Amino acid sequence: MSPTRAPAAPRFAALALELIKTISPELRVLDTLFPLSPFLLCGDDTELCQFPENVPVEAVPFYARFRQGGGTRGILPFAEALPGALAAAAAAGQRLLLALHAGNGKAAAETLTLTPARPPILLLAPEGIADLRTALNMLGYTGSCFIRFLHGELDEAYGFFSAEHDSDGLLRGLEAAGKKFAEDMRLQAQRPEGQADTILIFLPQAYQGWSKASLSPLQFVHDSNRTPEGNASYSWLWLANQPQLRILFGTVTGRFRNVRVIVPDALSTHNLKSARFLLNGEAVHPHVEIWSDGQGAVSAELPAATLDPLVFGIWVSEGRTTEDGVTKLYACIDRVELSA
Amino acid sequence: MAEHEIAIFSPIPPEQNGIADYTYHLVAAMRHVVPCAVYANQPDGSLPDGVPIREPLQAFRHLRPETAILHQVGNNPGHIFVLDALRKWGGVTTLHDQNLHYLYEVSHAPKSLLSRIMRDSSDRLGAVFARQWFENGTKTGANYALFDMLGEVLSRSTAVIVHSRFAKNRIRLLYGAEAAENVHVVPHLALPPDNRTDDFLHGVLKIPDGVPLIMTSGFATFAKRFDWLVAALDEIASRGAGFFWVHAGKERPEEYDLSGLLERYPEVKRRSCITGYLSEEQLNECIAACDVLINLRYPSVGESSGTLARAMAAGRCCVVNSTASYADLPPGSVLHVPVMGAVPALVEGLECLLRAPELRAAYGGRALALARGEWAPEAVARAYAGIMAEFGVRLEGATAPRPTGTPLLSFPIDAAALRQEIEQHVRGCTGNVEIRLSASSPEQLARISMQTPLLFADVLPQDLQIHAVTVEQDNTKPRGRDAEDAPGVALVLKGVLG
Repeated sequence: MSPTRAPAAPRFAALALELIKTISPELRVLDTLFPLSPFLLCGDDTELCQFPENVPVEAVPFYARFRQGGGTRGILPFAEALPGALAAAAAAGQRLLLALHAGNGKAAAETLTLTPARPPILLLAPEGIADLRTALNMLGYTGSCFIRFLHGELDEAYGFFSAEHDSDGLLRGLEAAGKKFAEDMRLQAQRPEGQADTILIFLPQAYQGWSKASLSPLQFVHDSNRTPEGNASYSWLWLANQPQLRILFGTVTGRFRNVRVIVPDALSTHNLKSARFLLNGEAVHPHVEIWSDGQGAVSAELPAATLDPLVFGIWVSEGRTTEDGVTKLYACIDRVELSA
Repeated sequence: MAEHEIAIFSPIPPEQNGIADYTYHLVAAMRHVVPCAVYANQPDGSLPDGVPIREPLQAFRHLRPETAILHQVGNNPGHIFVLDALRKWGGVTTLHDQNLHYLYEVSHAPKSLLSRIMRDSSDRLGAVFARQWFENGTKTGANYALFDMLGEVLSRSTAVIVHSRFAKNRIRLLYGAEAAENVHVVPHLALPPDNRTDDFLHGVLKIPDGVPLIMTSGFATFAKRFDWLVAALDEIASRGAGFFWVHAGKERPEEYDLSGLLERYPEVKRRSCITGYLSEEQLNECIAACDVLINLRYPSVGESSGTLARAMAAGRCCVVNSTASYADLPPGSVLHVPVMGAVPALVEGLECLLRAPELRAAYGGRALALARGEWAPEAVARAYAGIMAEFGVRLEGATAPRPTGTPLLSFPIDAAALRQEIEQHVRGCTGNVEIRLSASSPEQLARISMQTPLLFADVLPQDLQIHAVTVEQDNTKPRGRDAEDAPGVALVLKGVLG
């Protein structure tokens, strides 16, 4: 059984977002693909929400454990998340971009009929969506254009829909932006009747797509009842009452190869040395750097065959009950770094 | 090497649990026949090289339709997650204990489930004892004897593995021939002895040299009949036979006062030692060094002993009761002691064994032959692989994973056959559930509530325990409703099925 009903995790989601941002800057993303969440590690301005169809029934209780914003906010269904996300984007002077999978397009369009807002849409896997395109057009999405990234054997398509551009304008904007990435770029010569124009972007062979991410606890999507302490500039999170913390990384394939966790307090050096990582639940013996007594970093390589969405777990063996006699603390972490 | 992985749900070392050790050694042998992965809540656990440890919570990420699933179930809290996994995924179960009452008790199973399982054993007795337990708080030792609580495991498992014919026959007599058809006997694996030094025995425990060493093992409980053994050893000591007795295990004073018993027999106390919990290496050293291993058990519910299997594999002379699963052991491979008149029989038998090394060697030799045959890890692994290949994979429908925690079931409150509709959707489900009964308006909800004062009793399944009831605006479309229906209100019932 697959971890999500969505097809293979998108490899070029970050690139597609970067492309869109060149023609429409100041975007805030509402990523509806939880738990695959391909935009989760693309920047700070991403909010997660979900459609029930994203998760197979046997995985529902597991993913229901997770909360975003360091554990301060739940992951709402799309219909409930949309009004708040629109308001937050407006308050920050940003525009909201909906990141959707084509499989959820119909449900999203139904929700959009209930609001006058027409946020631009970045659509994953948009092949064969004539009906959806018509529905979006009727809602006022007059501009639409497809982008296909081609890299070796990979061929990944995205659709971009906007109520503020006509298709020609969009196409010109994306063409100009695509030159930043492309080894070669051209319009698809033949397209079926009624379909939007498609830009083919041939990525250079050397393109790796690897990137880095550094997450503070306030950015974690995790399953602990505990929330981070500190402030926006420095925060930390205790593993409390459970020896394990699970953090959702979402789509990592082709983007990250290493994970490193900074542990400013593990209670003891022995506890730090006993730490284990769990990659999608499978225990891994990590490399441990000891900086001083009970302080250090723990790191491991991500297997090439890691299945998205990646749920990363850190576990330590011993805890200590605090003076209140109720809370048991295990270890404190203040940063997670992902790198190529 | 088989192609598809076997997923094993079991505690693993270093958890102080004999079944954890069993799984370690089973996997060590099986991994050469079939790829194995173990699901355990012990990320720092110890397993043979190449066998991954995975957390049960994320099993859904790894289990494929072709994955064969095996559960190692014992009667203690370390197996709660295994029971949960059986409920969720189905598969083959190795039943290490013939009574799971304590496991169910500590698993926080809902009263409705406990009550149902007790009634499975005996409808009338179960109803009475369940009422006494749950309504009056009265639970006696009789509960454990009367209600073994095996019913759910037997019914959910595609096949059950036990370690003795006694255990299979017991299931046949109590649960019927149909249940027993699904039960397979695979002997407890006997590990070949390690080459150990005697540093621990003589260096740490200061066990004297030059006298025959008698050994017992495990948690000291009443059923291990130390009263019989100590009385027999006292008599043997008075007859001038030399020996030293080591109990390689931990006392449970709240359950059985072994030290107190020894206080009453100073001659035995002078020649004995209680070690406390031992590591596997220390236990192996004791087994390798002992001359006679005694493993009495009465009353017995068919449990097997890993220590006995190890001792036989080490060619030790073993003494057991001729009851339950021990009665399965071939005569001559162990010395059987009757449960009636056990003390004089022990005196007679032990005295002979202590005075005749060649007799001990003869018993040990036959035990070793048995252990190297069908009890050998390789033979046990092959037996497991055969059963797993035939029964381990979940058949569509019959053993498909039963979803736990159905997130949301929504029904129109005015449906003509509401009870049947709900029953159809929750059948086979356990765990958390949320049922929404949708009405077109608050007025309709109020009217139906007034018309059906026993609404819950009328429409909800009996094994649903309701924890919360709320009335909410209904943003979902109940099953069978037309899309144009306006949102109404919903009576939301949150509870646990099972």
